[in-house]
Amino acid sequence: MAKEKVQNIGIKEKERLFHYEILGIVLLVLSMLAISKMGLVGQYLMLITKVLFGDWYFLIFLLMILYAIRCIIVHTRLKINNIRYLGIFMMILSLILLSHFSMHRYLKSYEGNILVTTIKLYVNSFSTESADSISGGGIIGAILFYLCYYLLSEIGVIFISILLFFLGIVFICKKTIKDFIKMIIDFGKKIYFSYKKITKNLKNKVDEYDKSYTKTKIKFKISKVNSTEYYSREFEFAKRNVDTIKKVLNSMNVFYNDITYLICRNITVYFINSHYNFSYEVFDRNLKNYIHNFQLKKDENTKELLVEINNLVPTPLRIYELQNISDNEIIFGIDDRNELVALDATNTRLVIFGSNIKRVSLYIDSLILAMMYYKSNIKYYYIDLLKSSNFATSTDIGELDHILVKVSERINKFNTLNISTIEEYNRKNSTKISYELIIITGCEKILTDSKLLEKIMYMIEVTTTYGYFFIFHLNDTTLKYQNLLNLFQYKIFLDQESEYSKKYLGYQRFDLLNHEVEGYLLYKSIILRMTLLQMTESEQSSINPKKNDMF
Amino acid sequence: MRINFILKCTECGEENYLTEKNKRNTPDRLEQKKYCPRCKKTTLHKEKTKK
Repeated sequence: MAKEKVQNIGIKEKERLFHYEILGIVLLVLSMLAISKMGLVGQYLMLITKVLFGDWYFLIFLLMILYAIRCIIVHTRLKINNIRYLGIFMMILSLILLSHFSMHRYLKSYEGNILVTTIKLYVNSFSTESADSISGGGIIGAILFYLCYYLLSEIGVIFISILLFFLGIVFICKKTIKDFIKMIIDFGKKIYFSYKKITKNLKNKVDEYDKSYTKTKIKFKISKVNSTEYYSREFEFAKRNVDTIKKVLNSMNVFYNDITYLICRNITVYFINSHYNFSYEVFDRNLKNYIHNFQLKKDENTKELLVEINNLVPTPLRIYELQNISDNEIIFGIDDRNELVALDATNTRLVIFGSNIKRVSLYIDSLILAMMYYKSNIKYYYIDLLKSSNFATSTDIGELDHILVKVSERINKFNTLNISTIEEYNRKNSTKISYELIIITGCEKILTDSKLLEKIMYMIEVTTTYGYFFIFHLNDTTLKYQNLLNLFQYKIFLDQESEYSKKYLGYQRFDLLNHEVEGYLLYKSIILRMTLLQMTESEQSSINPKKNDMF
Repeated sequence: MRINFILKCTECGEENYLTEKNKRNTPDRLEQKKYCPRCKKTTLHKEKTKK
């Protein structure tokens, strides 16, 4: 008999398990139907719940789903005395209470008992099946709301709702109010410190990024130049040459009006003014018997014959001789008429062709040193891909992106203010912006990237009047970058190695040049022999970079 | 500018619907034919006046 009893209990327990599972599945299906408003059952279930609980009706179905899942998995009765359930209940209650404010706001402007009107509307919306018109906290929410409303007014309802919500959280977390407040403070602290940590890391990263672009403080010494002795020696030499030219002309029976001369850095130019036509070839041949380093030219404007004879001691243009540099020009040499050549507001771009890396770097360093010596306000970015300069701000092409960002910032600034030139901007604004010089050496290493080439060309074309100077160096034997080079007003050729020098200069005599300090300058279609601005050896050795901010 | 209002049955006076309208587009009192659960037929419903 005892054995049979045990069997009966086992069967009953199994049946109970089935009951829970069936209950769970039924609840799950019903809540799904109600949420998706499927069929008559779904629609009515949703309508009933909405009439009872208002806007937050789906929370009831959500709880139903959770309970259904619990039934299917756990197979035990729910113990309602668990404080967490009370917490959930309180939270839902507070939400319903708060949500009824919307309904109350609509109805308080009508006469009569608001509670009665509200319940009537809910009942009628149920009978007319117009679920969409139901808003607020439903019948339950309305009763609770007006109970609190009549007792404690609107403020009281808000207070009770917040209190219920707060208590709900406390009960769900199973902590005392003190612990809960402590937990919230700890959580807030944790978030604050993690935020601080992140911002600190970010700041460090930004600082590191910026540091790579800070220019180093550079100490240097500029040596004074005494040119009196030089000129007196060249003056004597020029006089002798005038006599020689006269002698040759006389031997050719050529009558001349006057022979004047101009002593320049590396050449002295002799201007022969004659009304007679004579063979330049014969003159050239005859003069070669006395002088070797010269070149004949004809001035088409004055119809004068020019004889350019190399000086005894060629002299570069020294930094000390410049006397001053304004904030919107970069002097880079002196031409064969003793005129300083500079990048200015109209001619902002210079390209240097040269195969000797040291020479190119020395030249560009000299330009920068001159700017520093005369305390020019022009800021410079120097991407030295040749890696041989003291003044390079970077040897990595990655800095170009940083420069492009800065350039686009200025473009946007000008566009928003509808300003077209830097002069106009500085005239209209109290905070003035300075000119900037962008130098890239060894361009041939990067120009193969067509996208980068487009970027650079865009930057050059757009910023014509925006206060940017560009000095590029190219040592390329191909003729691929014609479009880019057309944008540069000045072109300096330091040697014959580049294909471009043959293309642009034709048969100019490079053998006459003093390669240490001279080059050919092409400006529009004019070819000039130009003396480069170049620092002395002592100046070069005095440069001592220090890791500090320069500006 | 949308406002909420109650639609009232003109025959039995029952307040049946809570609905909304744009005050700028329909400044006049709204009148609609709707089902009245009390009269059990479609009747003319008018916007209830506010106090």
